[in-house]
Amino acid sequence: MKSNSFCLFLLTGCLVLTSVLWGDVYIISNSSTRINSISKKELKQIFLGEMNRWKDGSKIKIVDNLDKKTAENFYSKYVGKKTARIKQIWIKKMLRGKMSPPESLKYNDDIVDYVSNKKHCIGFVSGKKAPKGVKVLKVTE
Amino acid sequence: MRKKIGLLLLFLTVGFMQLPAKKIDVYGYSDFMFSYWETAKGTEKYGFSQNRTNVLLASEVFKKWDFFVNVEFTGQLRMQAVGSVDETGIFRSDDWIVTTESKVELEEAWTRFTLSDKLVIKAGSFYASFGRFNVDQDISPNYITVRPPMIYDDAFRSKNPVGIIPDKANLEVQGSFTGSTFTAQYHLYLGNSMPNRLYDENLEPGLSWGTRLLFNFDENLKIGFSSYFDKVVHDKHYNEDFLWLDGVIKERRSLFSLDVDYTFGRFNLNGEYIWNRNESEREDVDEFTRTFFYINGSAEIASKLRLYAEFDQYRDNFHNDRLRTFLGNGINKVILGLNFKPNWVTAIKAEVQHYFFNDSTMPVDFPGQDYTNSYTAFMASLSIVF
Repeated sequence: MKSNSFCLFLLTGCLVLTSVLWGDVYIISNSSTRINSISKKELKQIFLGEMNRWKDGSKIKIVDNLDKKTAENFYSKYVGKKTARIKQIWIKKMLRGKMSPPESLKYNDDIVDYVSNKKHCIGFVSGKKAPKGVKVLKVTE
Repeated sequence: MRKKIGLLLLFLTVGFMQLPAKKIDVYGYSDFMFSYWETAKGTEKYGFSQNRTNVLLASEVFKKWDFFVNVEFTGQLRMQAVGSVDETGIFRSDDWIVTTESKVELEEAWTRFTLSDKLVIKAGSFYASFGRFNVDQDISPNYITVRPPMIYDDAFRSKNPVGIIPDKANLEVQGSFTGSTFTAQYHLYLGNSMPNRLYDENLEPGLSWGTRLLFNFDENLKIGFSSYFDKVVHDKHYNEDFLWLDGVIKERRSLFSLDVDYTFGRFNLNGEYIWNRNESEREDVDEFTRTFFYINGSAEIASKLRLYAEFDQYRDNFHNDRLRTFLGNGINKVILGLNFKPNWVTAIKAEVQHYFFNDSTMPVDFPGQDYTNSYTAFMASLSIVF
């Protein structure tokens, strides 16, 4: 019993430590988007290429994060699929003209910079602190 | 054809120069293929081809109004061994025929106005939304095999006298509705049927129309229904007594399709059933029915590597129609292959294909080839998205 509790304590500790060291995933958008929050369902539809426009009719621009851990964390948490499968879906839609090829950047600073300068853009970054110069969207159920 | 493409590109260029500066996305894909065919007469054919490079241009002209252009460049280098089979049965090659062919084609050019997700209007020239692969018929990165299922290959497209699969459409209304567990997409389209102008260049095409409904359950399960109707126009035709019929023959063509795609864990299973009936307006020309189905299964056997197998079957009832019996009343195809994707823009595929015909008593003359009742082919390809 004692050893079980110890294992559980160790596991929780590891998870907390990983989270602290690696940080959270922030969903960010350009200030031109007229939203402050986004539902999980909308987020999934956007990153699956099924929702291409914001409610005001403007075209959604996606920026992908090339950092493996951040991408895996984001896609499994909000889209429910592996990164490789997401990219397969994108390729199919891109080649049929159903979505634009997303910009892909590796570093958080570059992504934040890109989103802050690109109208109607949405992306995601990881970090210990929320990024500045962009809207940080609250994700609702 | 090149003149037409030139004029269209000029029109597009001048047209877009008049518009406010917008970013145009330029991307596409390239295909390189190697194929080897064994033939009945002891000869063999194999060749490398830069099968196609498609350059795609897409941009939003104004808010809710965008366009898409798909230009295809193809080039082929084909080598054929010429020789004879010696007394021991071994083929001896004594010469090679090398042929090259290249062309540029405007595959698609369309513009789209999005009123809402539920109502989108698309106009121009684009592949008709029929079945699971018609809009993807040449987009190799979009299918696991080297070529799409047999029915979507060149020999079965509408521009051929025995064509089944619709070619292009010109006006489409489409949209999608999202439910709690699925997305439903609809397509309603109009176009021109393709006349089979064997001799008379003045034959006019008729009107064609079709529908497609696709239910998408979280990208894991997709179920589609398609229908298509047009009037096929022939200018020459044989009747059942092998008599050459004069005059124009018009046939009402109906097509229906049901397709399913299911992904579960490392596995994917997909298939489609297509039913076609042509009914002539003339009494001296028989009506006929053709059916087709394929089943494709694949499994991820290692990271980025999938093993796949497919069975395709085509059947017709052209027992006495010499114009159409080139497939011996039916053809079957079995494929076994590997698909390796080292990264998300590259696919390497290799497969063995075995074809066998349904009726061995019928004459078989597969387009451009000289096979008997069964043959085997090997195909490999490299696809790169850029």
